[in-house]
Amino acid sequence: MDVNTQAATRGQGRGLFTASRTGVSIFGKILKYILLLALTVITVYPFLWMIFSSFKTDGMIMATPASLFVANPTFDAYKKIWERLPFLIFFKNSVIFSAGVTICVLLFDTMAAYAFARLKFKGKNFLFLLIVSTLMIPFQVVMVPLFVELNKLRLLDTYLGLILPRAADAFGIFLMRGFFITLPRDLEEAARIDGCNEFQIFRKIILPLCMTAFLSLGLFVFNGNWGDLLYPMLLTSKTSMRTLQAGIALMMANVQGNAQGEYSLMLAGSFLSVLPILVAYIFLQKYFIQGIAMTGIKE
Amino acid sequence: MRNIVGAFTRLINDQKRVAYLFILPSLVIITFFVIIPMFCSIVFSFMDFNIMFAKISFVGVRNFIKMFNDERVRGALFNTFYFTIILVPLQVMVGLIIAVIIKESSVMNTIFRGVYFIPVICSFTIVALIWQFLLDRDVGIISFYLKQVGIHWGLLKDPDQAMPLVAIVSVWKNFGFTMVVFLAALQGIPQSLYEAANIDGINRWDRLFKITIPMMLPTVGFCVIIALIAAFQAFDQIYVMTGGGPIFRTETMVYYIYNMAFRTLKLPYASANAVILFLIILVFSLFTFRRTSVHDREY
Repeated sequence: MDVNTQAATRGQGRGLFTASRTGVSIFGKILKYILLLALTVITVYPFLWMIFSSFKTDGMIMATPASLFVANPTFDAYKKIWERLPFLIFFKNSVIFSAGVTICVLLFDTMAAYAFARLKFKGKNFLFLLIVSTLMIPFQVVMVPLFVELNKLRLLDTYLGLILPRAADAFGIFLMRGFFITLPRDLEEAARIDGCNEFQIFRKIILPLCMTAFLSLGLFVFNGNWGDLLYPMLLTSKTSMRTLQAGIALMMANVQGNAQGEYSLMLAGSFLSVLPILVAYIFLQKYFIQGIAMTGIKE
Repeated sequence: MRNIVGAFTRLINDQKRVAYLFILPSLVIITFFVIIPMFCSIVFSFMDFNIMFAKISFVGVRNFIKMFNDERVRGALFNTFYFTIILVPLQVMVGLIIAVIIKESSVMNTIFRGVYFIPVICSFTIVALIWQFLLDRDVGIISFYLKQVGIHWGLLKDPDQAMPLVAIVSVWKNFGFTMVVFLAALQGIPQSLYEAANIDGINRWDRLFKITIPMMLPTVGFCVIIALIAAFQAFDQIYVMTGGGPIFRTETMVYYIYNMAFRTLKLPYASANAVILFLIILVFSLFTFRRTSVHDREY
């Protein structure tokens, strides 16, 4: 009741200001929704097309390319893909690579970030600046020496070689340090007086407070590596070590020009590779978006 | 044994030592896999050697002179800038406009946000693969409809159309990212500014141009830098959609570096190209950074 009255008064207030332009604002509202719905169709259609077409035969895809309607759904593509590609192995490799990197990054980055945010030591500013300045170096610039280095270490085509170079990154340290700095100091001072050591303070007090940031960073890192192409493609050459993205992209590159007979197969593969991420997105949307929004927070 | 335990206890109770322990893993990894490769990249660019690392010699700036006379480098530089000039303004503008339209929290707006973000979480490999099918000259739906109105375009097979199309697909994938960053920034604008403006009876356009946009300028700058750096590093979409073709018209610097290093196996020459790419990215990000910091001070 109270809320309603409030809303009504506010509505009236607004009405006073925009009374002369009511016509314009209704028109504007319609235009706005047309724009938003059009964009929704443009965003969603390609995914729906991928999903529906993966249940068609290639002949059907080519006959009516635009149609989302599936007359006789067939699971052929989903049966054939396991024979055509070592799909399960790709999947396993992607999981090991992405999960391995994520666990390492979360552990090492938060540790370093905690030290930079809270502990006093010599060379702190210099070391932090050194790490943050590596944010300016894109992977593409260092990929040649990195490849040479891992080749010399005999780490190409190994899980260790895939995970190790990404086991810590400047971005995560920068991000988590920003979070740790905003936490009140009283808590850890109290814990220190109670006789907790730095590890206990870190684990029992700091981490629980940063759980959201922690999860968001984890999802961000996991998804980034799951979807990455160039890096895992460079560092692996055996089929048995390929990740999903590299496996699918190489298959695509191989059939470029004469994709006939492979359409539904590749769409099925794509759908399967993106499915875990889409499912995770439905349940963890908040953390996915927060992870991205956090990158927008400056300083 | 007791000595070791004692030493460990002393270590974890000493803030300074513990700090170094916390930083050590990250520092070692970043040093070995980012900083050292960066220096190697620079050193390699002044050297010549074959793939077996035999016949090593210092050749001074010869690699850079060779670049200067290389037709394909000129093409790749042009393509990189062309791609960037289409991508960056579109991605930032679409993201900003949509964010302003759906900034109020309502059920519909939450749904729109969630939907527009879907392409961001999907890998570029999959996105590019779907669009490669949709944009296929013979069986894709875009050309299907174009043909119905009598337009026969080559789309990705056309040297003039391929690059803009790849850029637009990249905008399609990324505008949700800029949107989310802008939404976070919009929520950070103090509501009191709008209330004061309401009392002054300022109309909607003035509110947009005199409050919202000026308050958003630092974030715009941030999004421009992020989009710019991402554009200079684009690889996945080009690898899947065009493979650098037709007739090298979508070959960007990164793609050329990849080709030189891992197809033609000219590692030193690829490193010289990588160093130039690094300098370009550095100059652009510093320039944009300076411009936006100036705005920061103004408001």
